[in-house]
Amino acid sequence: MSEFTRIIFVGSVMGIICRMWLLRTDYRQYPTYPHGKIIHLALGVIASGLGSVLVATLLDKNYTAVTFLTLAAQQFRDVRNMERQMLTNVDELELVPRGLTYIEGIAMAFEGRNYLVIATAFFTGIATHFWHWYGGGLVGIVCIVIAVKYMAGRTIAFIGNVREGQVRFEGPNLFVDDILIYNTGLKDTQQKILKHGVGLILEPKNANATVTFSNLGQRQAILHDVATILGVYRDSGEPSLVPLSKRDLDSGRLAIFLLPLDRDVEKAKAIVRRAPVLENAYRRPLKLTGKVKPDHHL
Amino acid sequence: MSQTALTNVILALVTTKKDSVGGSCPIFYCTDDDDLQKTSLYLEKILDAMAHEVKPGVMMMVKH
Repeated sequence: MSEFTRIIFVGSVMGIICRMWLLRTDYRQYPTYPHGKIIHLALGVIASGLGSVLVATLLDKNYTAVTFLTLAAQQFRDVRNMERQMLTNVDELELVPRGLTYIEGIAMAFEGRNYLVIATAFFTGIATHFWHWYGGGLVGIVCIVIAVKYMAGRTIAFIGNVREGQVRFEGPNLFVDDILIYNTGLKDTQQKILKHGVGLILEPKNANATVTFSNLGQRQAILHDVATILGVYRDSGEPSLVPLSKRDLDSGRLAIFLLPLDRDVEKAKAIVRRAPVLENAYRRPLKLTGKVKPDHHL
Repeated sequence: MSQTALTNVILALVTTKKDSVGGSCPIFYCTDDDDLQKTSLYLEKILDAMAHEVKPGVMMMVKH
């Protein structure tokens, strides 16, 4: 086997493994199976090919080949557009929508992962050149571990505490603990809410979390995650039954009112803790240097 | 599926108190509280709107 063939082969294989590892379908059932997966696997193969061929061309002193990467970047930006458009269209028919912030986050992840695959294939290729195939394999595994470990985002448990809140009515007004959710006048609806509703209170750990929890996209993502896993007690044409989140303006606490089909408070709490903190919603005002920063416990 | 609908508009009022409501939107007069609940429930399903109790005896149908 010639050296270039070895570099391209080992690099591509590690790149494809990286893409497959990052493509595991979890509870969100996204990417969809089977065609959504095929699309991303095919793009992953192209990305890993690019990364490893780049090493071979550079060793051949064919430096203009780098311009190919710009073409690749354009292609992968299209992946982001494709994901965004599809998810936005599908979201219109969800009972509890994902929300645009969540969609943007997913689209960004799909673009970013292709670059990770290129990087994995590239570094594996270089290592194969210097330390034969086993050195390449080792570097490839390290790259995959880094990609999987460090590209996993944070979860709600990292920035806030979740506890149960009492769902109750004061006249027609629905409250979770002391936070007003909405007003519904029908006795029938009120009984359904008391029977099926779950109230949770999200307490931010610091000022970073307070600002993040105020983001409507972040809040919608939490509601969507719970509805995906525990189901939702609502249907079209039932405007009075709607999971919603409201803030307590004084303390920054977030009241989450849920209507799960499986009414289990412990499960709901665990799901909210595991919900992703969206990249586009996360803010860190405490990172400011100097005196111009909010109180730690805003 | 794109849908065009009037949102955040009072679509109808349902009341047992004739004196406390008025204006240009449809008003449904009810005889008692049971009738009020029943009429509001029907309207909620028909209009896909939410019934809000503004004060005892006055319900407001709003599409959100």
